[in-house]
Amino acid sequence: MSHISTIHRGLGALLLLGSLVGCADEIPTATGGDLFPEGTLPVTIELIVPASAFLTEDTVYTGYTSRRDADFLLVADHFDGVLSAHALVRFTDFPDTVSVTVDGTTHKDTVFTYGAGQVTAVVDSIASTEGPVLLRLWALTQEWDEEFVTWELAEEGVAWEEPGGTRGTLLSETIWVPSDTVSGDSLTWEVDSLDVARLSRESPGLLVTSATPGSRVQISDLELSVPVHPVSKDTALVQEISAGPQTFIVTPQPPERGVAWEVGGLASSRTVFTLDPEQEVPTCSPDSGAVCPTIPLSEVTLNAASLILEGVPVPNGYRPIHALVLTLRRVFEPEIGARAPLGSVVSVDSAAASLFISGSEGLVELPVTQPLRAILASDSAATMALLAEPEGSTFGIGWFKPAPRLRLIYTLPLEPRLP
Amino acid sequence: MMRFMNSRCLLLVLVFLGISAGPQVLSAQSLLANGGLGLPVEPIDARGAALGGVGLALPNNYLSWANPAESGGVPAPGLLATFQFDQFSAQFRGREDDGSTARFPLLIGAFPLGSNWSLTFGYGGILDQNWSIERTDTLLLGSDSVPITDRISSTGGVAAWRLGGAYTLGSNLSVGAGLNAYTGSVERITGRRFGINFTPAESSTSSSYSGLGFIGGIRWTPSEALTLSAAASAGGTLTSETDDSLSIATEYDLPLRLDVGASGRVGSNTLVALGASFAGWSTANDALAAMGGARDSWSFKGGIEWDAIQLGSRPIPVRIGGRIGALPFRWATGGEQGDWVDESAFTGGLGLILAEGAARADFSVERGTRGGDAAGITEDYWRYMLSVSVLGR
Repeated sequence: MSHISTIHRGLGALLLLGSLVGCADEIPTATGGDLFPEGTLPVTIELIVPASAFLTEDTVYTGYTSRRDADFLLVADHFDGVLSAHALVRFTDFPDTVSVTVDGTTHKDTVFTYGAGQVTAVVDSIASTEGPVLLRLWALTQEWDEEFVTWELAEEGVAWEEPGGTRGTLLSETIWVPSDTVSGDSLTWEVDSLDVARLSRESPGLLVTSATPGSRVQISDLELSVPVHPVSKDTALVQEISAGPQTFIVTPQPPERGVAWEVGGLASSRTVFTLDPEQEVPTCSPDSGAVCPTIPLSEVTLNAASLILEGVPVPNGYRPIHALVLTLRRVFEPEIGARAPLGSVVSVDSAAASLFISGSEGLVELPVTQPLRAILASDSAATMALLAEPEGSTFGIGWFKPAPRLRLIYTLPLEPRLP
Repeated sequence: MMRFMNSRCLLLVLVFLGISAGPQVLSAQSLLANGGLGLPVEPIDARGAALGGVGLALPNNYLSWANPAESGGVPAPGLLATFQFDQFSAQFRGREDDGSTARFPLLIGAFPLGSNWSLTFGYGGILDQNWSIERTDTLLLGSDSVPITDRISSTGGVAAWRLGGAYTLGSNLSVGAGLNAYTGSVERITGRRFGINFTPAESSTSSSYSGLGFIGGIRWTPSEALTLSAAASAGGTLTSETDDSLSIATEYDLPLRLDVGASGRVGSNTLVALGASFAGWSTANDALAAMGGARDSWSFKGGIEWDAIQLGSRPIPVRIGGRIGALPFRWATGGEQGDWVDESAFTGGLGLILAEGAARADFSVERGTRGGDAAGITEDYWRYMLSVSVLGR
């Protein structure tokens, strides 16, 4: 019996030993480049491929969105010496009656007066030129149709008496001081009570202009709040007046891009191009000057790949003020053309606004390692779309030279040796 | 019935340990594992290791890998497992690297079959092929300085399953024979990693080992004070076949291996053990020429066991020993090829005998050196081993 318990103890010890095996285990590693047998060190090569070698087709599509889809208003005064923009707004639904609750009893009053009101908005400081900027609020004197209004036309076939909106009285003005400690980026125009009363009757609306030359300011929709005084009660109520149509008009029109690749803008331009994966790459560095055999790109390890885009100045004040978020998406059924469905984002990077300023030069490298690996794996040409996202949210347009380059970093095939 | 149950239980445990420990049997122990077919592994228990590596001709040494005849006369089903922990520090070309590993070098069991026959089975490490070399550098790609790490690694090795038997002729002579089924695999990976978010380059290839070998031995105890033992293993080829669609096979001649040993009592509590080994690896010299070739390896070993100390009624044998030997493969690296590698070690250890010898635990420690200036590498190591064996009598 004692022997049996001895066996059990021994078995327990063996099981304990089994559990100890995993305590420490590492591969002995000798360090030093001189220890590698000849020919076993990996070779990594950088290659810049011109567009002519990998690009088979490129097209710019535009018109996916319009000014009416923008969630901002634009105000500018000769930005880049050229671009001017005015914001237009019409307030509707001024109240016919006012309800007042006193001691739990609600009274409706149809006779009331307006006090001095406030028109407010918020500046998108990232998407605006540096301040301070003097912004003026005008009364419009001519009706306009938000569907057809432009810098020259107030309605379809009806020109503004004054291009850029026929102005009446200057109602108010305010100065936007970026990062002002009191107002932040909020704008407030004080509006006289008589002007408010005038607005409440039949009025074509308001116009916002910039009186600071060289400015371009992106603001939110305007809001109007006014105090209302019922005649029968000694009290005042603040009413938020619903805004009707809000839009902006711009001059001049967007510039012609010529052959440049284009992304972004109010029309959400995108550039669609096709990559040819059938590439032969050299087995030695092009910098070495040596002549060496080539190998299919599909047979090397693609360590990194990027699309090098060179910015082109965008004229007429349509250049972006802040960095554009560039995205790359796969295009399915490219034969459909502009309405071809897009895949998910396969690459994203930002293009600095400075790339598009006249007189400056700059590149943006859009990483395409994973999409290119997928293309190589599928062994067929792939169509990609370059966009600025979110679409319709930027006024600025990005232009690139139509001859991007492909930067490849690859490692030649490795051949482990067996004993 | 109880005897049958115990045996079956032991077998289950062996299977469990074999499955769970199998992958670790050949864990790495030396930078020298990158030479030739790897670093030869001695499947030995802690008692033999403490006696300088004498794994045969020892009294009550039924569970021996070196000689299947040692199991002759095993009184009951037995099982032995050995756990080994290594720490090494290597100096080469003005640099130093170190590491540590743990593994099972030996699992072996034996059953008596009738009064004269016995059966042995086990699993032992033969060649260790775990190693890697690495370098860090910086690549200039365009205007970018990109840190890189290059690495070649090898994981795996060769092990063997053993099925053997022994027959006792009288009370002092036994003969044994066995079959070694070689198994194992190796995976080589070459790669480059980048210090930035570049996709790493990596390529791997692997192969599996197979082959059969034979071993035979004899153990003779002419007197209670003297035991002699000898074994020879040989036969066949070790085949390495790549695990891909091409299935390229490479064959290596398995070496003739000779092991001899003797132990004698020179006092009432003192045992002296001596042994020698030889393996004719030079037959693989041509096949391994690209990896530095191969030469015959040998070793001489010896030790003393003193068992005068007791803990209660339990003997605590104390052992010391040493060995010298020649390894069959060079240290394989780029550049100039070094000389052959020799190895020497001092050993020591303790034992604990329980239940009148039905169970025992042995511990050994070994301080050794491999290589030297001519070999291009000097590697010092500490090795600790713990063996537990049970006999179900």
